[in-house]
Amino acid sequence: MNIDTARQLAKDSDWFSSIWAKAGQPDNLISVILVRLEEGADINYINEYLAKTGSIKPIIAVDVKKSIQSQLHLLIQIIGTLCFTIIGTIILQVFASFYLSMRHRRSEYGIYLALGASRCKIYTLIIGEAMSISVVGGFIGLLAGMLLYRGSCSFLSALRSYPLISLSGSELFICAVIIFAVGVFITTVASVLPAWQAARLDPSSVMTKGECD
Amino acid sequence: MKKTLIELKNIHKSFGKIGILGGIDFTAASGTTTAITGKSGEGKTTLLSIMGLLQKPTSGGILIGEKNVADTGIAELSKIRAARFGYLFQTSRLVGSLTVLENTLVCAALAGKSNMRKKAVTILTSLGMSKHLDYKPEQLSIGQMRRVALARALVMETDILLADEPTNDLDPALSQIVTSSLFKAGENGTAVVIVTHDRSLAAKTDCEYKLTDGILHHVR
Repeated sequence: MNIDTARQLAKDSDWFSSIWAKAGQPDNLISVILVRLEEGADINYINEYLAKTGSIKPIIAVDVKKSIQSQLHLLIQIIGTLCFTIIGTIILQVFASFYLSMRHRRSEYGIYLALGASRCKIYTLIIGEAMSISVVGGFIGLLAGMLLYRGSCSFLSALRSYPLISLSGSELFICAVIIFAVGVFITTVASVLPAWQAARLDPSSVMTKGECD
Repeated sequence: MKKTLIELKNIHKSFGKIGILGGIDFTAASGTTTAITGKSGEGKTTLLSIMGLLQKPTSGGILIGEKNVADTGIAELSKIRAARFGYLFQTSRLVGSLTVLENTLVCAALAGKSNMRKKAVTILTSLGMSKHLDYKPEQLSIGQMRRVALARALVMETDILLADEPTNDLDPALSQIVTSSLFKAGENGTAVVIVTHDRSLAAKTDCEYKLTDGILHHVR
């Protein structure tokens, strides 16, 4: 509401007429007073003094700033926790998919072992396969991610009412390299246990299973 | 003179307290075909897997050529299997993600031989599979899968070829193809050991044993 409208409404109100009769007309009625304090002033004393008047609600800017900061911290903590949860879930998912893939192809590895593949070869096969998938998948994923990021940035920049911080080309490249390296590392680590288990399969199991695997 | 390629000496095998094989002595020489018969559950497949270095005996010696491999490490056994053994398992045991030709070349790839493609195609053609080289196992009939498995066993021309019930569930025509291929391998110098219930197949081999109560009896 415009302050002039508020003054007019207050002036016309029967409720406040006795106040205006005592204190004069509300032509200079104000809603907010900014009190700027000097360095070293006792902010708590002034706050209490203003509060005692009963008609003023003091708002301390420092407290507001602190409150906003603590809310932002909480928000960042929530986002951070979500990020870690998502990363953890992705790692588990990658691990599970590789582990299940190994379980699914258990008989295949058994055939290779029976036909003379060494444990080392099976190990190399599975780890190599995992790395190939992560390299190709990571490359495609990053490329798609970068395009999506650039597209989102240009879309948002047309709508923004606040300064949009976007990464520079070199920053984006560094991020991509880090994500790529982490992705390949996670996939490789996730395939170590399945590879270890596959390399220890009993080759004689091949003698008693079905037509194909 | 025929060279002994594999020799089992006093092989015992038990699973826990259950004895399966109780002192097996056996030899197979180059260019010979040997049949091992016996009732189901007597341990023929177990004996074949011990012979093929796929599992270790509880006790006893296995000589491949001159070397006792009973206590050899897993890595060395893998090398010996890749270099000297061909296997025709009771079921085809093809790799589902590979084509017919790739399945045939698996053993060559594991042995590090990269120039076997032409030979694999020749063998597959001789087995009537020339039109199916790019097929996946799921696109094949059981009979066709068995032929691919046979091609895989033959392509490396290994010293020893072990076949577990090679004619099981096959029609007479296919059974004849499989049998003649195995005997041809024998004629080419391979020691062929066949575990079978098929009396007519066993009768064609050079030598026949019968496994009864964990003991191998020489039939002829």
